[in-house]
Amino acid sequence: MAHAASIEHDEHHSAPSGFFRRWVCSTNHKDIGTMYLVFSLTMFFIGGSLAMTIRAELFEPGMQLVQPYFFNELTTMHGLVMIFGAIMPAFVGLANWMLPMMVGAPDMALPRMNNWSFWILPFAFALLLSTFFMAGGAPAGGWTMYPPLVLQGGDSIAFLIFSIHLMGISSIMGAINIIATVLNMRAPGMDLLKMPIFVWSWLITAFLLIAVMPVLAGAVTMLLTDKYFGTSFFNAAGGGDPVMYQHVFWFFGHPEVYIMILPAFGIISEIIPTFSRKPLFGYKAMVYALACIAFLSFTVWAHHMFTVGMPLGGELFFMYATMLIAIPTGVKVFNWVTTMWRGSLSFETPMLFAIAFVILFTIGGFSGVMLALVPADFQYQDTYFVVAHFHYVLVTGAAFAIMGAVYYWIPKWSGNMYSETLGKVHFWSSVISVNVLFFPQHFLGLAGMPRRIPDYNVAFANFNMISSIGGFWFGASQLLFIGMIVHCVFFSKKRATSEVWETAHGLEWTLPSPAPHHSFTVPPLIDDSKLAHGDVTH
Amino acid sequence: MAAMQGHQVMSPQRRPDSIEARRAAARRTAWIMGGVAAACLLAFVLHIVLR
Repeated sequence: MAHAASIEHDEHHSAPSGFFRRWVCSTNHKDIGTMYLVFSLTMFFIGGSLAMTIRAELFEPGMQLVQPYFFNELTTMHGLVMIFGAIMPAFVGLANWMLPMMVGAPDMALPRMNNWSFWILPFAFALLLSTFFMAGGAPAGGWTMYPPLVLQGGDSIAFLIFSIHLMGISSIMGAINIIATVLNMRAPGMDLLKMPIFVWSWLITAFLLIAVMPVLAGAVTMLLTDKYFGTSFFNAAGGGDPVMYQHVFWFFGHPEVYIMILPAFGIISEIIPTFSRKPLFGYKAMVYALACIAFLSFTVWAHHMFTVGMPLGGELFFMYATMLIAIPTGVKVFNWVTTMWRGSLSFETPMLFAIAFVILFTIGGFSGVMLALVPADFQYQDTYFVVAHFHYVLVTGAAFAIMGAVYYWIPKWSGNMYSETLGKVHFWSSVISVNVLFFPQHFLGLAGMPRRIPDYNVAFANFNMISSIGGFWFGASQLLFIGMIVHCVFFSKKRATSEVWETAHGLEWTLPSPAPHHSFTVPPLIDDSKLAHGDVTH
Repeated sequence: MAAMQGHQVMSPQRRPDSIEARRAAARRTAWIMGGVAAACLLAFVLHIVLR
């Protein structure tokens, strides 16, 4: 029943001319994907410049550059910008670009809603970043917005809450679009268990988003009414409970962690088989592991707040549930390693980022298991050990996967090959500097240095100086990433083939490079042998 | 005959072949998922308010 994969696309309908019609009014998934990625890169550099200022202040003990309150603004805004502005939109951008091509659909299921999902974001972040210029300054109570602290700041909290509402609306609409696209727009023959893992990872992530973003919206709305309308949801003096906010926030916040890492798992599961020249080992196990991680992510939220005080049974439950997540995560790590085992490996830049992901994300995972231990967590809580842990997960995990994905797919997007030399220099510079930046923070945390402080004991001076040097080095390394993108898109003379990579499988590689503005306007005929997982028996 | 017609218009996964029909199905899915999101919000609010 297999047919040759046919390439059906319409060369005659090119992109609309004029900036306004092409970009502002766009309903094209590729253009919207590009806008998401450019937006996310911009936010990555804004959030990164906040981080550079933080590391500059922490370069040596004592107060050097900023006032303590402004330091708190920096840490709060760095977290918000990086999570909601850089990581999440980058994954949505990758989904926009790749999902329709991967499942053989002409576009996202709801293209106009897709436009709206994106264009909400610049307004949301303009609102958020404008708080730096307000009287009273930007929010300074941490990205988690714990009351009563967050309510004691100025009116910037209202701007923060409204911008979170906007981001939430954008995320929910994006998630709905992805679910509708994957469930309804797949080409005939593209069964659920033949879909690329990246598509699976996003389908599961979209369900997580729909479940938890409304919870965040509700929680921050209650903060708003507590601040401005006299309610006492989280105000102990009025009969409310500030700890309840923490429970509600982390019921959103922990699945949010997986929202930021499951698509990264999907990307790595695309890259490693291509450069190992082998099919992904244990395709079905990978899908079930994704679903298992997503399910478990709803049952572990209180491990973020062991020290607030809860019954022993609760602490034991959340400890064991958290440790349970290591099992499906371990399945994934072992399957990536087994995919590489006896493969015909080559080490182009996407593969380097993927291998670095597997190693460094696993380090972040292990420190996560350490943090899951209740007695140990009482020591680690709110120290730099936690900062080191989640930066290993989110920088060498999520951000490295995004960078690997850009290297992997940019030839398909632009039609040009990137400079492998530039890519490798960027990779090695990033991977060394990121470890210089974050590894010493483990030692600082274990020695007792608290997070979110602008000054510290001289005992912590050496590791902080090393960490800051790594931070500046890592920040500077990302200019190479920009250089690679600009070179590839505008100056590269080396044209990409349709397949781009020697043994890349999947519908997206049957399209020419660059991918035409409209692709698969007629559903492709599926040839199982051309799919990455067309003949899955394991 | 009916079965044959069914085969002609439906893929093995029972997804309609025409892009218009798929978009219509996708819109239904989107409304359902929007309802799920609204239900999550409602459940959360009730959980807090009735506590």
